[in-house]
Amino acid sequence: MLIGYGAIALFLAVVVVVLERTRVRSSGFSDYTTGGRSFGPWFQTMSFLNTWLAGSVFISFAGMVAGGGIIGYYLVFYSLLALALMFFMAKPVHVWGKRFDLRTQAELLGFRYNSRAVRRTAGLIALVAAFPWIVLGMQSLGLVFVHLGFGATPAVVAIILSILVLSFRQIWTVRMGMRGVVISDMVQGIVAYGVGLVVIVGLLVYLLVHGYGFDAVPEGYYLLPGPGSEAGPLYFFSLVFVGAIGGWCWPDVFVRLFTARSTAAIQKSTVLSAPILMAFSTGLCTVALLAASFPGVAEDPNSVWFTVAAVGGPVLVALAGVIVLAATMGNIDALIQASSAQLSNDFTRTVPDAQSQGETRMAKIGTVIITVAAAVCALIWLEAPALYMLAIVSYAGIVQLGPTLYFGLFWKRGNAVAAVASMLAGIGTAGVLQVIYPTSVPWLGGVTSGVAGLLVNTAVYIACAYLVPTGTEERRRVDALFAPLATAAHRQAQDVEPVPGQELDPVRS
Amino acid sequence: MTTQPSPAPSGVSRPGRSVAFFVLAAGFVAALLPVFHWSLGAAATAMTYLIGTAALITVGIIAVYLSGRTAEGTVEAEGAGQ
Repeated sequence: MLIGYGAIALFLAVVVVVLERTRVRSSGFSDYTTGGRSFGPWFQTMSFLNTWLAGSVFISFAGMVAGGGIIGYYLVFYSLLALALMFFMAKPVHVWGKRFDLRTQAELLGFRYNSRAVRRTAGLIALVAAFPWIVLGMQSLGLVFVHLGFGATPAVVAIILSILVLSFRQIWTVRMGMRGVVISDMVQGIVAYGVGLVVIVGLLVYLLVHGYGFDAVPEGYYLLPGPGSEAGPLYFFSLVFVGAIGGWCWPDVFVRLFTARSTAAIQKSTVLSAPILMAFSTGLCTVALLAASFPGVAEDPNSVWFTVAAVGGPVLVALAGVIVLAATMGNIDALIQASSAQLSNDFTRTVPDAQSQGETRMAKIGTVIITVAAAVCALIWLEAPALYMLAIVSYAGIVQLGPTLYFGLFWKRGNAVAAVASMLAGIGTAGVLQVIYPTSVPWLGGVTSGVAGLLVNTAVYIACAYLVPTGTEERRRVDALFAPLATAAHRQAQDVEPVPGQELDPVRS
Repeated sequence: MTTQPSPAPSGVSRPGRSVAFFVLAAGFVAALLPVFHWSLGAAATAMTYLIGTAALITVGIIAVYLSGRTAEGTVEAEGAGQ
């Protein structure tokens, strides 16, 4: 227990020391929420990975592979596809974000569609969808404290400890904003995915050498749902598709595009992230797959990471725990920071004051409120299946931002009516189907409720884009908005900043 | 951050860029096309498909980035900033 909890204390101390030594007073709300748009490719890479690959990959995804086979590899596919989307989104998001000082995903959408209704609807969907995941993140870290207690810590105490640790870390999120989140992501990312990858390779070698090879994997583990299966033939496709499309709908992931210093930095971070993501996620899934025949794993698949790490004794279990903690912290920090930024930027801000100090103070208060609310909910809903259901529904719901987001970035035709109507239609469809068919919709070939909602969503968006007339002034504004993107690639290559006064300035929403 | 002009004139790598986009598109198709999912069952085919598709997407992303850089005729010099 001393080794396990001592390792966590040591790791936390390192994170806090790094944060204190790199502390810079933010110069305003924009600086507070985007880290001054100053980070280069490596910071962007670690920041993306630490937000994307939460601690749940070691628990839920590894458990899915250990308990059900290769279906859990959908993590690898959807993560890489989302990364490819990041490459293409980098230009419009960064160019508009920097030029018009946009700070949140909802603000960007409101700006693109010139509509407060779009901004508020997107912001509300993101806030509601993110909250259950903050609560679940706090609770799931309890598993780390259970294992690092080596049997001496009851589950309830472990969850309380995890809530305390994550709440303690938020002191620096309040004080430093996004800059603190990105800087600590570097430390956490090195531990979670650098040290984590070394541990994964070591465990792979151990399993292969000790007779837990690919031929020892239980029968049926190499199958994906096909025609005639219970889940349906399109189930795996749905998981990958919704994961890839939905990834950029999460505000904590999306805000990473605002923290980079240039479009080139985002695109280079995509190239740096891809091999790390592939090696890490494929390696972790393969450890879980090979460990399916390992003693004790079948009884508790979600603990596969710790069960296999136990072959290295208490030190390796402690290291495994710190790795999960590092991954979880990055995700929770980002969720809380992005949620508080949206709360203050998209719901309470009307007219910014000169120094933006009021907005920064509001964002700090928002961070405290969200942290306390999540901690209280995590304690109250210790055994609440409704929370899990809410979290699953929230994923089907947040992906409904997809058409509004992607069409808005790459297609001039969409308008505010299309955006709001499609989001509401998609959420309504997905919500109803999710309640009736929690896994997949049998009469749609096994697609998930999220995909069914996306079909309705996209149809409504395209129909409204063509049928609802757009005014001449609005068309001109949108044309002006897209015009700089055509020259952005050239400017980006030459790293030339736009000349003040020579750029078109579409009306802000 | 500074930039250094590369000797490659603009437009020279257009075929290379097409190939890069083709590789990335092939990765998307391999990951999403259900018929591939239904044809698995044995360890060798399953692992070849899973790791091969992941590698295809990864190579596609890197290729698109590199071909775009060459087509623009510049490279970003790192070292400044963070």
